[in-house]
Amino acid sequence: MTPQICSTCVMDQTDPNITLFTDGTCTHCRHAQRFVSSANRHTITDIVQHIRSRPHIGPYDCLCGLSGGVDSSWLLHLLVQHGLRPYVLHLDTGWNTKPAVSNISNLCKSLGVQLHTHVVNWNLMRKLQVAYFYSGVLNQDMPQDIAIFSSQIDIINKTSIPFLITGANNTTESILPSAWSHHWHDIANLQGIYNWYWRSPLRGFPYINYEQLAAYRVSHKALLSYDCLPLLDLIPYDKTEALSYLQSKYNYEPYEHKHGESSWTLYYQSVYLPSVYGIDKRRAHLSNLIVNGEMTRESALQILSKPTLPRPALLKLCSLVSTKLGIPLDVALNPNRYILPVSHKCFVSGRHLIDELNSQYHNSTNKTETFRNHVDKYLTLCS
Amino acid sequence: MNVHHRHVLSLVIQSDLAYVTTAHSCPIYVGDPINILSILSDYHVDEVLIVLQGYRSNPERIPNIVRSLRLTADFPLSFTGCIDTQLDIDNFFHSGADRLFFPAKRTLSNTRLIEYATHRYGQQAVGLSVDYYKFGSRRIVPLLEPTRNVELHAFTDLFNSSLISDILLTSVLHSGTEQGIDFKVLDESCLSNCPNPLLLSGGLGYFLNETMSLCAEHHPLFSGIASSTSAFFLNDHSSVLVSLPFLSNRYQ
Amino acid sequence: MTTIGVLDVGIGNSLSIVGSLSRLGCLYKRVTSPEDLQTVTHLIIPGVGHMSSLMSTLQFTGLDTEIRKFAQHHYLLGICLGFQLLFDFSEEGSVPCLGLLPGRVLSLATHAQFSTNVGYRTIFPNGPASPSTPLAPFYFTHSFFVPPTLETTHISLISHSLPIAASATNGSNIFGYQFHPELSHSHGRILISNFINLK
Repeated sequence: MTPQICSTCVMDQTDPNITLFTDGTCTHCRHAQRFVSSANRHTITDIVQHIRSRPHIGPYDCLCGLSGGVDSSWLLHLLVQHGLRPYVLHLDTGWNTKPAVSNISNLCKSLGVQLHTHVVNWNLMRKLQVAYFYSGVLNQDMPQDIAIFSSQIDIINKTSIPFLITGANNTTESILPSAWSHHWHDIANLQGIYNWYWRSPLRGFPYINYEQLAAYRVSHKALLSYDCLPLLDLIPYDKTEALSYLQSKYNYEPYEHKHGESSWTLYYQSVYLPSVYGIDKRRAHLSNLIVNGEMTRESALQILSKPTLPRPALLKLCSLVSTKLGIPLDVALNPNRYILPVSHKCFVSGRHLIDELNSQYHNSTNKTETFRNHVDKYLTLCS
Repeated sequence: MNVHHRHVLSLVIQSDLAYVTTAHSCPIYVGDPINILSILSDYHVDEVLIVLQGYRSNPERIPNIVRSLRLTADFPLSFTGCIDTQLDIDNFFHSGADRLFFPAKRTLSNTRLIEYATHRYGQQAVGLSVDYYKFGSRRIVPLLEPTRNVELHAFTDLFNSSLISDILLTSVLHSGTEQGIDFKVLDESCLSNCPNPLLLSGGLGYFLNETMSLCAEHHPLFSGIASSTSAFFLNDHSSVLVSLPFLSNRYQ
Repeated sequence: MTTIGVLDVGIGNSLSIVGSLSRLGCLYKRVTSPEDLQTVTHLIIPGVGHMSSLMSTLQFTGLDTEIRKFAQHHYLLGICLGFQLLFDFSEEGSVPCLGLLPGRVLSLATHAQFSTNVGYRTIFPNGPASPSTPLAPFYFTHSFFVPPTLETTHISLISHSLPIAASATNGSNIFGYQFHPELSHSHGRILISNFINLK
């Protein structure tokens, strides 16, 4: 039976938790509407002033991750244009595309900033990704997300930089069904899946200790030496205008597809998720654009009627995944023929503990104790 | 004349991981070689020379890495390093290598390997790498005079033989001069009349355009430059790697 | 139904062709014996090899006769060494070749005073007013060459006075490129795509 679809945005019942209301809206477009109306609380000048007012050791006043995508590129442009001196960090997880490399290079040269690149141990990352792939779990981006965040916190700990500027932006990415994701903070899951596939413990992967991850997630100030600023959520942000400006000023090469800066994320969202889980994440992205008034529903439906990738691009991408991971091409092209969807909870997972902390922490009268109990329970699970 | 000088990128691969080496630094880890070659394909790089290291203890892994690189790259791939036997030569070519470079000094004492390679895979598939620093500098071992370590005539014969095509001169900027390549040595050496294409390498990546025209003026068979730095520009910070937008020079 | 075969007898870089075919989304078969040849409609003969090694392997397997028969009614593409194989005779090892196109393969060292033509070269349509409009550079690497013949459709100039055949055809089903289209990026891939789409 064809999943029913919302009449306002294009989310549908491939999210099993969606509620379609009689007025033609759904839980998602109502949720997203809140972000559209609650944005624009600050100006960039205010934020810059706030950052400048904090003393810092060393030449950098904030840290900014740079993936080569529009959001992080625009962030970097804003920070430098307003006279800040960011530590610019790029984590090469082994899946950079040529436009990403070109954009990062052009941007840093034009802005006159030094780029710091850390390159993950590819052999270890490959093994982790193979384990995740064959496990059939939902969130295939976990290893990369953990590695990226870990590298940022690692630098902050070494340099005592007071601000972490992130590219999270709910105005363009607020729609994300819980059934379409799994907390990437679940380090126990990383260990569990690796151990299940390779029958040996995961060693040497650069993830930080869980306490720091959890502190970041709930903003447990007692343990955070830095402030996290999701800048694009605090100021007005028009992604289309940002892209246009980056193209004209920095020779920025737009990506043919969303998440085109990482071949893996492109594969995950264009092939793996639709094939194994029947999830088309374009729905969420396009629904956001509809709610923001940047696209009509008819245009979104037309996009959704076409395949996620044209065939030549699909073949090139699957060939690359097949060669890099050492899996057969047919398996990369049609993962649903060989892999069943499996919950993260079938492996060691602390998701229930994470959910528990998320719901309890902010209302707790003794946040330190709540946090401590959570970390102790989670680390017991990991051991 | 229809000449486009080649810009060969060189990359070291050890334990299936890619490294970049420059004159005065330790090798710098730059990630997954397959992804790098995929990016280079999109950049339309001319050709890549892969230096394999550390595979002698497990040569059975060589076909796999060569094959993976071959299936990713839509440009020519040459290999050097870890080529010790006829079986190694077959493994490389059957896995997709376009050309193998053999070290000149070792080849001199044992031409059996390049004879095997040439007679099976053709002259154009066999190259020789010569350390210019050792053999080009008058302070070390001049190409002009035979010494007890170098049989000049044997090298001359080898360079002029029909067993090889590309001659790759390495470490050219270590010839002892501060002013770049010592062309005089090149002019006066047995390479001046050699009928084979010459590739120069060793610190040339930073001075690409000037070097290309200077070399072309000096040697009629100058074919191009091999470099690791012109594609991967290294900052002073040891963990920094910035990829330059790289266009093969034939479009200039 | 079109079935693409890639000759794989241990001489010739079949994997670089395979890589290109994979990127084009084209299924292929490895042709290692005369029996394999019965099942394909198009055959690609890859380059990188010595002519005498290739010819002796083809004679040993019986593929030399079978490829000549195959070429009467099916599509054939020779690349580099495979291109030279189409002609009558090669100075590389002084061996007769398949004789599907008239001409001889000569040594560069004898005729051009240098041993190997290697690198990207532009090619030109072969005609009375050549060289006219050059085409995008393709990657050449060869020590032997075919001087232009009647069947030559494109030439390349590798010295001031020495044109070489860059591509040739019998006008219907047999094609050859001296350069490597599979190593010449996307514009080379178009040539392979054109061949596999022939019906």
